[in-house]
Amino acid sequence: MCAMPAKIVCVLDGRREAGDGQANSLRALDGALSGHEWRVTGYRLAELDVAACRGCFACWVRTPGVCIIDDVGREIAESVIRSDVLILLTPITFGGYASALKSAVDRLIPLILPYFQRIDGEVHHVKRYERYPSLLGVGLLPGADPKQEKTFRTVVERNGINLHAPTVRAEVVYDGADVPEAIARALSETFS
Amino acid sequence: MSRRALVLIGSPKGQTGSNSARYAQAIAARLEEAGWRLDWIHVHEAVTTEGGAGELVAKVDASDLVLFVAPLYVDGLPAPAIRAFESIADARGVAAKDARKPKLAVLIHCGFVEPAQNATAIEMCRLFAAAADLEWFGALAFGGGGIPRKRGALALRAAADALAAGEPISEEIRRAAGRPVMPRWLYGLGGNQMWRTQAKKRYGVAPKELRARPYEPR
Repeated sequence: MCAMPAKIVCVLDGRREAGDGQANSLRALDGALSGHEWRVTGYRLAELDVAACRGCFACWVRTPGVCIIDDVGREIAESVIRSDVLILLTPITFGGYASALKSAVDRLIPLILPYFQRIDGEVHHVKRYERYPSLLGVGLLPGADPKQEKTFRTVVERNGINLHAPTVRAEVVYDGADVPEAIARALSETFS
Repeated sequence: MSRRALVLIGSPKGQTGSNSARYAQAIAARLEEAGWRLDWIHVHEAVTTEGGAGELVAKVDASDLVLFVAPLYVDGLPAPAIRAFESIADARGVAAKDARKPKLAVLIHCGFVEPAQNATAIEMCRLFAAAADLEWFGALAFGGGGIPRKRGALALRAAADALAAGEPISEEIRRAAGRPVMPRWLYGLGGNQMWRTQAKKRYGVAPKELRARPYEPR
């Protein structure tokens, strides 16, 4: 009897501080998920320096589906579309993503088409691929901050629409909580 | 003494040629007529140039009004704009409580027909203002990709007049700007044709090729 193939989780880690703390944290996440048949591909964005999107739309009209900037941003886009769940992990920054994470997220537009369609009455871009990963946004805050939390949840929800995620969840984690444990719980509750 | 405004262009495309620059010019021209002194910073350049972030913070500190103009990128602000905001908030959040409090006015535009799709990005700017100890001075949202005509142009002019007079952008002006410029079906039809034409004429890429799937899951 064949075992079910592991589901692939792509983690875009936008936390500011680089170094062993984050590496350990991603390893801890790997450990927390290993018993649940998840396979983790992680990117520590603070160390990768993903170039910012130039807004040139070459990925739509010149080199369809591929960003014209030849750096790790391309590899990230490929990993994202080949994953089952995309995790956006970030300190909540003005209600949204920290700049390191947003650089990678802005570089995901090659994954959709330039064409427009209506989704729930609003104009959005059409799918390029048949299937897309589900989306889990994990925002970190020192403590409760209702305005930032509300905006963060809205951003994750709207990213889910624009990136055609079949399932979307936003999780806010306060200082002192176990981040890998919170992610593992969210994955098993919503995306298993 | 003349009042000072700092214009922050949040489009990676820069201070010339971008829609952000065109919107900003429309407001800046009115400010200059009214005697304001203007400084311009392209945030993408500021955050990637040695010493650029420090100069950005110093110019914010020295301004009476900061006008931030940017396109919507994936439901939020372009990454370099967030990076610039992080630098400003880090510096002002700890040091400027006793300093002067510049005002922040914002204009966000997007390639969708509905200006309302900019709402989340505007809320982020409002949260940035709070974090950086800036006074919120209102916002405008435009959809439709280009510089507005008719009703939108009137709203843009009204916002420029208000700012030039030292007044905030009112909710009434924001509402006037915030209606779709054309029916959604028409926008979709025209937009889809525009992409096909641009790909073919500029790069010789056929419509079928535009749907390439280079990262098709294995």
